[in-house]
Amino acid sequence: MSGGANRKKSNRAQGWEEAGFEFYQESYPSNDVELHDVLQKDPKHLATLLPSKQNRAYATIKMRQTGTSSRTYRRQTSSKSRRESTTRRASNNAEVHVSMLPDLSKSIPNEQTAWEQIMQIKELPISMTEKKQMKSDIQNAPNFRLQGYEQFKWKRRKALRRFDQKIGEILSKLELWRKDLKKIEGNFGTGVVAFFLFIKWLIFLNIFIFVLIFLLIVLPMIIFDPALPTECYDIENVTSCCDVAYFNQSVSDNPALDLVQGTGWMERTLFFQGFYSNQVFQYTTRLFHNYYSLPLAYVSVIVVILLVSLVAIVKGAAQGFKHRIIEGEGQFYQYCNLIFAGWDFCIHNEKAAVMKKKVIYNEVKGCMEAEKLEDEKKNRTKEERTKLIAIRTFVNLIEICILIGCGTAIYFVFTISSELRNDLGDDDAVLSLLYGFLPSITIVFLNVVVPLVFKFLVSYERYSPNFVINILLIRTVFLRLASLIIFYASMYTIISCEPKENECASSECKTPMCWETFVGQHIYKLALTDFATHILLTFVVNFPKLALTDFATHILLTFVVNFPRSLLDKKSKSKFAQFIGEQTFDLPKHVLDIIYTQTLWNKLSIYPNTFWISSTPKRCAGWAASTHLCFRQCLS
Amino acid sequence: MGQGKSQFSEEELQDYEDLTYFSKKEVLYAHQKFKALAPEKVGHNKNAKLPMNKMLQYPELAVNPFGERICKVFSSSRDGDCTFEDFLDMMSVFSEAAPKSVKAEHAFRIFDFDGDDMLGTADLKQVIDKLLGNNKLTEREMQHLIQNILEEADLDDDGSLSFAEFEHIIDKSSDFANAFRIRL
Repeated sequence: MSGGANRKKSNRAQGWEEAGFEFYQESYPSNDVELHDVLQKDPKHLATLLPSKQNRAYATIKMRQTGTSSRTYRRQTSSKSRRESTTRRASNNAEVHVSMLPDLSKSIPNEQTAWEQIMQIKELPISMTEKKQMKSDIQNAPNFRLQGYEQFKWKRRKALRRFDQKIGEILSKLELWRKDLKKIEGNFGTGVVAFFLFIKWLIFLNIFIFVLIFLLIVLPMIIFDPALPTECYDIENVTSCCDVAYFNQSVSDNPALDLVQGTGWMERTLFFQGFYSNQVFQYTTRLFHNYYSLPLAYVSVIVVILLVSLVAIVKGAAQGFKHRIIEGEGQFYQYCNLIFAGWDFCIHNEKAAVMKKKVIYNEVKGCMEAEKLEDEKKNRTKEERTKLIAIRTFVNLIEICILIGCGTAIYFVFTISSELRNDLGDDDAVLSLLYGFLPSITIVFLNVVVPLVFKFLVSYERYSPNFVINILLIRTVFLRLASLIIFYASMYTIISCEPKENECASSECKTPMCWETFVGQHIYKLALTDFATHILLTFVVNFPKLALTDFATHILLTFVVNFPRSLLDKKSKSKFAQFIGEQTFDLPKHVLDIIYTQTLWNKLSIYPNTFWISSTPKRCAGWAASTHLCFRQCLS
Repeated sequence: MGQGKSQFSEEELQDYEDLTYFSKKEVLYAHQKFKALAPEKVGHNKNAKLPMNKMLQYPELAVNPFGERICKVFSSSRDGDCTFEDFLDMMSVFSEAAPKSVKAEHAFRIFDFDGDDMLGTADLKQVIDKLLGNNKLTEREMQHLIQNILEEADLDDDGSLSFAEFEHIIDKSSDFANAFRIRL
């Protein structure tokens, strides 16, 4: 008995401490026994002091209650300030005596606490009139002025806060595409907006990279304008004259073809590495003799870029990781998440709202389905399990074979096309162009087609829907990376041939004179092909698809590309027509595409002059995607 | 402030800035939006009370399945009619700057249809019904879904969610703060 009483006492003491020491003394007689009696008569008293109950009190808003100020104060937590917590209690329990109110002379807030209280008012779920009332109450209540250093500190805090707000305001005004993003969000929800925010982030990263390269590498080249080596008289040692030989090579004279292939006049521009000088520039200002080493600048800029990219990525990932840890348990609340956080309150478009409802419905259904699958999985017989494992192994084997096949195809296409091209010489420009682009076309073609095959195969493996998205993504990433690696490896086999004595480049392997530019040209071609394919897919495949959905608008496009298709769609509701008429914005795929483009232009190439236009494709891609979305909106 | 003369005095704006998550400029912008709903009425009296059906013409509220509920929760007269101050309160809670806890509190009030401070089975059913619109679940699926939600969140097994339980879920939800947001 006594032990129990003690425990109660300690609880109580803790509670009172929070409420303030004088309060404790004044509200109840100091006699413990008597206090115990009081609490037993009305256990609610104790209950309201427990932290958990206080939380609840904080949470509870009796909307039906019409009393104004009492409700307001009740919701303050005791931790905020003693004055408020006592008032709250006073309103909670009618029988609390006036004598329990704290000695105000000791609790008069100073300027700072009053200000803090005002800042906290906005958290309360009460109407503006009540908030204003509270604010004026606090302002009109007598308070102490802070003195000396305290005053200074507080003033500084206030000023800093105001400054922060100002900065925030200015920044929000500078925020790019704010209105457009809002429009997209209103029409398509937060997921799609996240994609565009990612593009925006990438654009900023690229602009930074561009500025760095332009200032440190390109600008010095333009300013110092080193003369091209034209003459070399070292007859003894031919290899020392290689650069002259390279620049004296005859170039083809078809500007258009050169533009797409990066040969001829293009090769002689700041666009390719071969053009850059390996000199240390010297210049004299009034006082000093200065040097600028271009090769050093070249290397260090690339190192800096890689480091900055790494830091940016790690920072982003760390943020995501933090959220994931905090919200790690979220996976146990999938239904709650779906219902309570499912609606995007930012949606402001009728059509999108209907769509969103449908999506939530499908997800609810999907979750239930997954539950059933889970049950089914548990109840699988041994036979079924073996069969499934066999199928999965088989599918994985097929996929590995496909990957190997892709690799070999790329390698052979590359070697054969470059051999053919060398045999051809300069006779047939068009055919040579075709051979030149063959490897890139192969890679892009595989990138488009093979994922479709993967998608088809994965349906046999009977994974859960979420897992299907993940595994498809992983496989596709694998395919893209592998194809790039093979591409680089095939180039390496040509480049790595040791030239014989008195040779600038190995004639046996047909190694180009300047291998840096050679690799750059190939990447340039691949990036161009990739870009063109995207544009093509967007305009030729997706737009006509869109056009199907509405007769009025598709008149514009129908006659150009898609008349038979649209007829098919309107006249018969066959499955095929539905398949080609369906228009979706495949988020994971688009994200992957963007990353791939970035990789192509930046990461794998140390040919930084391609950065010049590296952000252009992305901007265009973003533009294409957004028009494509807007177009879809207009249609429907 | 802004172009021409504002309908607000500097003091009023200061009050609004202190009592919401908006800056003065944003308050003025919010007022423009509010005015657009009923230009004459608001032009006449800046704090005019607009009936709920007028409020529901605000694009985000118009398509929101909980639009009426939101108006009612934020209306100071509790009938869904909102003054500018009510609207400002609403937008402040939905703004990006508002912390998750504040959002959670209002979300709870919005979902609590019968106003008994608990999300009971009936509340959940209404929430789901509104959320799914025309896509109806069968009675059995609905029961199952509610059962699942309660299983996940109802820690004390009393068959309904209290605010503490609700806040706990919201804390763990990564999507909530993003979803429960209306850009001004």
